[in-house]
This record gives sequence, structure tokens and C-alpha cells, in this order.
Amino acid sequence: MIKKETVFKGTRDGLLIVLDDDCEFKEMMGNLKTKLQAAQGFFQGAQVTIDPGARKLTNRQKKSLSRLINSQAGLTLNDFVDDESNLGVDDEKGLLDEMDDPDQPKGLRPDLSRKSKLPVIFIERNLRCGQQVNFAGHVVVTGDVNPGAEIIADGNIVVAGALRGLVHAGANGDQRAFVAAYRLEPSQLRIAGAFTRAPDDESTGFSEQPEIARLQDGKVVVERNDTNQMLSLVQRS
Amino acid sequence: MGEVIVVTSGKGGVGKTTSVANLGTALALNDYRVVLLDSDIGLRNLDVVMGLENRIVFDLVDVASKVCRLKQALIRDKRFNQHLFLLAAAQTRDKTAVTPEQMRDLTEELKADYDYILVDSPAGIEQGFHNAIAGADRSIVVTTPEVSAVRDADRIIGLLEASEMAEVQLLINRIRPGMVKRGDMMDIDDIIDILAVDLIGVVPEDDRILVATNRGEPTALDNMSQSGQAFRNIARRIAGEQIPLMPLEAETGLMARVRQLFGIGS
Repeated sequence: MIKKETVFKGTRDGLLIVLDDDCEFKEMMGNLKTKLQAAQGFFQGAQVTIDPGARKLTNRQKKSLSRLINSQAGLTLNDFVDDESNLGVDDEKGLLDEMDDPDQPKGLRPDLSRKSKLPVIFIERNLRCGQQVNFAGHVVVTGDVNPGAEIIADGNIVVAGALRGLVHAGANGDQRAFVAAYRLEPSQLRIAGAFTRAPDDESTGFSEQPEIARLQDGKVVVERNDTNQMLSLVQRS
Repeated sequence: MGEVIVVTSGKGGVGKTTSVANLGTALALNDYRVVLLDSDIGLRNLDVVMGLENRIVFDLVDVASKVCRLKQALIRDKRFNQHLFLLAAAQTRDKTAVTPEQMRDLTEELKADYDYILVDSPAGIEQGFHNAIAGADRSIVVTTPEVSAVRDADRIIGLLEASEMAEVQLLINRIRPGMVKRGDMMDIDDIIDILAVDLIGVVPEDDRILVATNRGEPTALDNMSQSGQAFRNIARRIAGEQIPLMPLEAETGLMARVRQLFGIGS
């Protein structure tokens, strides 16, 4: 695969820079520098991985790349993608492994804010029975999640409407993941390895308040969560 | 240019065929030219409900596979003076006998000559469903006030949205006002709250439907029937009129009170 230009990508591990295959190393470095400077501040705090593409990098070239990245405010060079092991491809798979239904919107918007390295997907409609979202990051739904719908996310899940389906936050074992919803009425709720379900007794009912579910000592704890806080969660996640 | 409306539900037995028969009847009474298209190949029964079973010569599969012309397969319902026609499904074939492309072509051809083409969809979400929605301009999802029917309606609405259906409207069938009042049945608001689509009408439970279905006479022809009135109102809403929802009153009278006394539901 020949790529024409140096590309920046957001992944679950931070920022992935895929190097230009065509031009001289020196020229490529110049381009990269301009690009990084143009995007100054935007990638603050990101961990950078470099995918050399078809290019074979010498140790000296690696060093100068590393110097260039680390000289940019807030960026740290983490690693190079080894072309033999095809790590780059795997990363991308993890990033895009989002939905079973081909008709779902591809609203992928990686977020590289300081607080979280995971990408965020926005789903701007109702999730209906039989629809499933699998995402290696945070999931924000600006609609309802109906009974029979499923969300499985490595990160947090925030629902701005009624959450009545099945959700699994921190699906890769992240104990700090949470589930917040305007109406938290899931049929089943899982965080990392813990799981709860709706009470069988209908009379206990659900609260008419926005709520948030987190793990505390290995158990799911649900607490009230006022609306303002809820919105800030949307921004933060 | 006519409009193709698919009537579907996911779950079986909620009243798709009854709704198609009654809405078609009511539209024809209002002087629209209507075709009822049964896409439930292998399990047809729209012809039975309309009382036209013994007049079928050619069916949907014959038209799709060009054994006959479209006009030859349309059965005219004599009660409606050139306004109501039925295209029956084949009984001896299955859903794979027709493709979505064939359905699209066929409904396109019908649209040129008729005002409304109502497609009766089979239950389920497999090929029969995809055939039924293929040529449709808009859709009516039928549900009853049961959790299982509402769940399936939700699934169907998701599939309709995914296939970019322009309009999805909800018909709630077989509601029992008395039970809703007592809190024993989901009410309209509960259903709308979950499904979040436009409501086109509510049809009350009505024993006359059973009698009418067996006789092959849609209740929309019966001026005394509450369900018939509900269907006639929905037909006018389909045609674009603004008709308020009919007030649904619980069964009253001596018998109802006696039954309530003994705890037998109405």
C-alpha cells in the first residue's frame, strides 16, 4: 500500500502518525514538522506511535523523528510500529471494529483530550431492539437505548435519553469505567467483570433522576447524578 | 402517481392483514383507487379476509415471473365499483419466489394507475419482509399493547430506518380501554415513549372483527362498529386529513358491571 502523504490518526493508544512513503526522509521530516506545528496544541498530551509505512527507518532516522516529536509541546513518542508484526493494521481494526449493522452511521470522532486516551463515538439517534454497538472507546448516545439494544464499550457509556437495553462499560476490564444516563433503566448493566440486572419486582421501580453507575469494591453502585454534571460528563468522556 | 404503503409488524397475529383489508376498504369508500397486495407468499390470507379467495386465477408470483400480465392478476372487488383490487400471494411457493427488484418494478407499475397500493407484509424480518418493503414509499407499523409486540415493532422500526424508509407511522391495534384504565394494559403513551414514532391511529379491540373476518366483510363497512370507525379515521389520515384521535371509552352498561363484579375482565 503506497500512501501519498503523512497521515495523523487517533487510536485507542493515542496518536498514530503514518509516514509518507514516497519522498526523501529529509523532505518528509520537513512536512511532518509543518503539520505538527499547524496542529499545535490540538494533540496536547497525546502518546504518539509512528508507523513508518513502507519505509525502513535507520536508528539515526528514528532518533531524529523522536527528537522532532518530543520537541512539540505536549507530545511524547511512545513507540514505532514494527512493519513485520503489522501492528498498524491491528490498531486500525480495533479502532473501527464498531458495529455489526452496516447501516449504522460511521460517526467516529477520536478524542485526544488530556483526560482520556480512548476515542469517542457519538450515536445521534435512538438505538432500537436488535441493534448493537461494539466500540473500543467511549460511547455517547444522544437518544434512547431501547430494550433489546446492546452497547459494549471499552470505555464509558453516556446516554442522554432513556437507557433500557443492555450495556457493558469497561468491557476490556477497566474498573474505572462508568455508565451514566438521563434515565438509567437498563435490563442488564455490566462494568468490567461485574454485572447487575433490573429488579424482578416491578414495584421497586427506577428513579426519575439522571443516574450514574460505577464500580465500588467490585460491586456496581448507582447514584444520583444531576443534569449539569451529566453534561460535563459528556464533554469529558 | 400513487403511493405504496407497506403494513408490517415483525410479530405475527397483531393485525397486519386485518388493517390492510380495512384501510383499503375505507380508502376505496372515499373514492380512491386502491390495490391490496398480499406479499405473504405461502401463507396468504388477505384474500380470505376480503372474501375473494375463490376468484384467484393468477397471483403475485405469476406476475413477477411474467406468466401473466399485471392487469390479469388483479382481482376486482365488486363491492367497490372499480375502486378496490387485490393481488393475491401464491400459496404453493415460498418467499424466495419473488425478489425485492421484482417487487419494486411491480409496485412502480401499479403506482401509475392507482392512488394507494397497500402491501401486506409477512411476519418476520427475513426475505419476505425485505420483499414487502422494497417498493414502499412509506410504512405503517402495527403493534398491540403487549411487551412482545412492542419489542418486535421496535426492531422493525430500526430496520425500516436503516433501509431509509421515508415515513414510519404507528398503528396500535386491539387496545382495551377498560384494561388500560385499570392499569392492566400498556397505554398509548407507554408505547409511544418507547417507539418514538408518529401515531397514525388506535383501533380498539372489537369482537366484530372476528365475525367480519370469517365472513370476508371488513368492519370498515360496518357503521356500527368502533373498530370500523377507527379504521375509517386512519384511512382519512393516510390521505392527509387531520382527524383527531377518537375518544376510547371503557365498556359500560349492565353486563360490563356484572362482569366486573365477578372479576371477569372486559
